[in-house]
Amino acid sequence: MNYELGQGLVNVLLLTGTLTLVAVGFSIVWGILNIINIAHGAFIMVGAYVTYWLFTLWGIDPFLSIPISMVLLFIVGYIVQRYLINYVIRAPLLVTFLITFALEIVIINLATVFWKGDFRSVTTAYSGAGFSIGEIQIPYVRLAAFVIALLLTGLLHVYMTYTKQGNAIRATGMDVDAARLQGVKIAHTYALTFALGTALAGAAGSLISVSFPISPTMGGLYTLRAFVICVLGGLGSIPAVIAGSLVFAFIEVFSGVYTPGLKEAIALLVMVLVLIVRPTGIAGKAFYH
Amino acid sequence: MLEIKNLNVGYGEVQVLWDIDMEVKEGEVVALVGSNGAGKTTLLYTISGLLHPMSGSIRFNGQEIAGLPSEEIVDLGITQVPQGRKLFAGMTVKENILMGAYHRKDKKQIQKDYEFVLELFPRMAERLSQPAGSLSGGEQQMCAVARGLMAAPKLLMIDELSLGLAPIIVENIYEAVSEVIKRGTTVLIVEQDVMLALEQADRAYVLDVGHMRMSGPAKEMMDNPVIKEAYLGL
Repeated sequence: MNYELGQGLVNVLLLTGTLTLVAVGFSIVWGILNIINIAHGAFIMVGAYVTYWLFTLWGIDPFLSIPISMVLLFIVGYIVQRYLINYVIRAPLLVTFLITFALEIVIINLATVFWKGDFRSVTTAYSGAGFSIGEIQIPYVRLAAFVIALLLTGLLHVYMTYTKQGNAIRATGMDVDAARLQGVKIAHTYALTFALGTALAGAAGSLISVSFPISPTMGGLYTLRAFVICVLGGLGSIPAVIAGSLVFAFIEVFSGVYTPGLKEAIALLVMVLVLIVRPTGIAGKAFYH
Repeated sequence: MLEIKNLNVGYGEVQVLWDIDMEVKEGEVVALVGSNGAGKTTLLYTISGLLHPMSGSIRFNGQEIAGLPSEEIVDLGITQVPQGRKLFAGMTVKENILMGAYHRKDKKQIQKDYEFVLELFPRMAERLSQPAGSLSGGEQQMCAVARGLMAAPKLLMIDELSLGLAPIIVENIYEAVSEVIKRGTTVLIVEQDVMLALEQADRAYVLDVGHMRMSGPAKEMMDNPVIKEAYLGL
């Protein structure tokens, strides 16, 4: 088999896992709360720093810090939604959009003040290690990140489909008044949904920190990617996020090989084409299953 | 059971209901009728806590509930089958029906009620894993009533059950409702179809552009010349 193609396809697969985790939290918040969370990438950045500091200061393995990162960002997300965004949740999309935009700037500024603007990386003993199948290289950390990303996405699916709270979240996304008539506490459900989104962002940040350098401004690129993935795949279901991530990873990897420097432009161009041909995204609009 | 006094409700500056007085006694079936835009749905939304009144009182079993959040009102035992069904379209029939029991914790009784509503609407039992959005209008209404019953309400309010449905299906669903009434649930029926509502009810209220115009036993209302002319087209 052609080496470049084989390695490329493996990279697409590995990247799809990480991108799915990057986008799935963004997608729930958009689909259920109708908020385009510009601060999503900033939460990813915070997750990456949680892992970085736990590793650097106390030597905690980056993969073990994922739950810590998730819990911390869950709490932050719950508070942000309950005591800030909930007050304007009924306002037009632009208002919540602006609030999350402001939030992003605040988080990045604070990170720059406390942690400096330098690039940092999490380098463990096993960071460079990997194995190969024929000529195709697979780094252990990328493979582990892939498996964990899929595991967390699967858990989210189980939570949304089979638990009472998960069903309440989906019901709220479909018809908020009908959900209230069943006794769903809306303020709490909104906060829970946003907190799930930020917790998943935290996990994504932790996973990213083991493979890529991190800095306070790293998040913007991930917000953009999450946005494009949601438009590509369609809003409101996990399969849609996976489909969008797969297409995005394909474009990113192969345009990186053949037309380096143009990969973002090509991804956005494909997004525009999808919007014209199929405005509901590849998988269409659904509500969290 | 439910006592409403001097209730005023509006959306922002626009008042929709003026000085509403109404009562539903335990075990009764009460009809609330009136033409389109009279404020019937607004009144139900206010009772359910989706809207907060400008002034006035709503008492349920002696407790003031005007202005309480909707989840507390559901907990007290008031459930609504809303106008337009308002099903969770992307969820399955089973998930929709079980959402009705969302506020309950008595698992064993929930299971019994679940079996009961599926007996009541055998068609729902055949469609459990279908998305609710793919059901026909009549089936959607059955699903909505089934969801409402899963809340084990003391007071069940049904808003415009007949709207847009074939008479045979409406009759079918009302038969199921009368099964529920027999079991002692108090029911408030809201209908545009006045004759249909009066046939089901013990007593009735007539709401007319935000004002309560008339009330009395349903049988008498059917013979009332004003009602006959205004609503029954006789």
